[in-house]
Amino acid sequence: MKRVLVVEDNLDNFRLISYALKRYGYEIIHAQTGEEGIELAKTEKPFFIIMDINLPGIDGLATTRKLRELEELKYVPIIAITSFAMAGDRERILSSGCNGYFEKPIDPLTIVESIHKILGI
Amino acid sequence: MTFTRKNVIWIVILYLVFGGLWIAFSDWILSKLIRDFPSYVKFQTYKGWLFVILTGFLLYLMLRFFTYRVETYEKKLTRERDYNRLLFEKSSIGLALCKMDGTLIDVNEAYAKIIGRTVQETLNLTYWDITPNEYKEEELKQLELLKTTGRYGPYEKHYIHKDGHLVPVRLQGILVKINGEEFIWSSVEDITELKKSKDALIESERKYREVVDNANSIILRVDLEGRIRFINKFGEKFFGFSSEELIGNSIFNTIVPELESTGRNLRELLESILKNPESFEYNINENVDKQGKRYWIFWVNKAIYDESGKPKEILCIGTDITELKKAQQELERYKDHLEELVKERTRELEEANEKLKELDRLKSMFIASMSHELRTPLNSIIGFSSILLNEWLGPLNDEQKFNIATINRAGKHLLALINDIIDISKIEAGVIDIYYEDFELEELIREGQKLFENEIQNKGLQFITNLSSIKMFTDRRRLFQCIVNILSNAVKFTEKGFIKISTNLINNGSNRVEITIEDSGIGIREQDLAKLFKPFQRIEHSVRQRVPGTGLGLYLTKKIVTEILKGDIILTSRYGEGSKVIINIPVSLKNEKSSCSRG
Repeated sequence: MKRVLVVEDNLDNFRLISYALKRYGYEIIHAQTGEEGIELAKTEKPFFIIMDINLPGIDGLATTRKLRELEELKYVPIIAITSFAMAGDRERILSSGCNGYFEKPIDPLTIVESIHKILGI
Repeated sequence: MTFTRKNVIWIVILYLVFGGLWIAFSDWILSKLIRDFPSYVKFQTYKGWLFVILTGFLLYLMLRFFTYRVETYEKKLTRERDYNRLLFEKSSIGLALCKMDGTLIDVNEAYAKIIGRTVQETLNLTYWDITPNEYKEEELKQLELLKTTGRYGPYEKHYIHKDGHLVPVRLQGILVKINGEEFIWSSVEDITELKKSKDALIESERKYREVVDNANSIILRVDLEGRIRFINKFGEKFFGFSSEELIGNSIFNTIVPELESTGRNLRELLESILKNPESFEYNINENVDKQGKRYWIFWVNKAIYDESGKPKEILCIGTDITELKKAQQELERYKDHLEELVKERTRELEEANEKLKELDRLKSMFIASMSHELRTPLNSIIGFSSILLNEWLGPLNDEQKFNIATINRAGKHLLALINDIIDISKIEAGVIDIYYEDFELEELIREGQKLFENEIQNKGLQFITNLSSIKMFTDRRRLFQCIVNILSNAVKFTEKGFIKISTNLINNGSNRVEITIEDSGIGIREQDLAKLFKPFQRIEHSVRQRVPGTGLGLYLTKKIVTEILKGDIILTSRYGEGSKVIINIPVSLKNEKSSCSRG
């Protein structure tokens, strides 16, 4: 079973995305902070990572950059979820190493399909 | 050659001696040569005749000699006399010889001319005749002087001219004795011209003096030791001193204080000016009057030179600039004050600017946090209701489905509202994120069409498209937003008929594209047209209750079209027949700044 790491501190959001992912047969690993996310990524080696940008402590972009520095995690797909308010967010997200992004609120019915499209699955 | 008495006696003696010798000798010769008496007597007679002839000849020679001498002498005398007479006659100075009682004995032409008469006429006068009465006293004085010292004058008086006017003259003279009688010998000068020029000079001097004295400037002359040599009336009045108090005194005890009120040592300054009179053409310093009151004077200095070219005095012309200086000082103060004010204002402006920057920052933060805060619960509302609605967590009955659908719909509506508000906020705050990209217009419109396909079909409307393939470079997402908004309105307000979208490239050089969305819906009344693009304005209409909307759509659309897509939007409508919206935008915004820009 493919494992997906979800780095999200909001439990409601986490549940939502989990429903969607589970429907496609993915196993969910939950991290609530960036640091936790990095640790779990290292140990679990997920199929892809869903990264919420707005995290306590180091934010999603910093976490992404840190992950990209690690040799073994350089190529893990990272999908960002963002509130997407500020100008320049788009550039910042993509340049930090994310493969794609979704704006909140996400549509649980279609998100996984969209993710697959980005990943080329 | 003159003969003295001695000479004459000797000559006579010699004549007697030689005569006697001749007679003796000739008698002896004769007595030796001739023996008879009658011949003796004859020769004696001959000798006698000879003697007489010789003597006569000698006499003739002597007489001739003396006559010659006398003639020559007389000629010389005459010449001299004529010469002297000529000098007398022709002298340009009037010369007169008169008796002690004043009778004019001898005058020359010049003298006569002075009084406008001929020499003849003058000789009949005395000098009393031609002297005005007021000089009587002076005349007697001069006469006394003459008698006691032998000379009188020079003094000046007037003569009465023949035609009555007075001629100014200067005369002087000596006492002479001629043949024992005393005469007065005078030289008289007509000083009319001289007097005229003297008077003119005096007048001129008076005029200049007047100018100097009355000038509204202080004029003074200082020597190189700092002593005042001259000060004009104005200066005297100004400083409150009389000229006696100033002339000859140093400037330092009088009109120059030792120390200026600014603290400058004036003694030093002025001493250096006195040492180098040529190098201080202008200076401004404080002066003090007799009362001790201080003034600021602007001095113009000019060195005055003596005959050898060395400076000997300084001419100083001063103007009172106390008022000016006061005004200048006030201006300085005012300027300083102004500078203070400017500094203060700048500080205030900087503070205000900081505050504005802070405000901007807060605005952006607000929008960002609003965005985040509002979307988070909505995420849950829409997301969970979606999941439930799609029976992911179990089957639902119709009533449950219906209610959950309501939640879902409400959530989506709220989301639409929030998005619009945030968009407007962003545009108004100038923090809108613009992202230009290349895309195909036809493709974009088909995407939009897809969103409304179902609804259009359900309503039984015709969907007509007339699309050209146009490659665009602008903000795709925003254009899509606008097209969706307009289409949504068109679909909302059309119950029957059609909805038509057409695109059209305008190639008259401006390179723009027209996107037209037409419908055969309820249309808009003319008076309501203006309201449409305003926020939160919805037309009073019975349809309103049935048609949900945020009231922000067209306002936002217009803002996007004009400010982000750099184009125009035109809405035309006929009430009851339908509406037409034309978006006219540039095909390419290649020269515009993209993303992260303010406004």
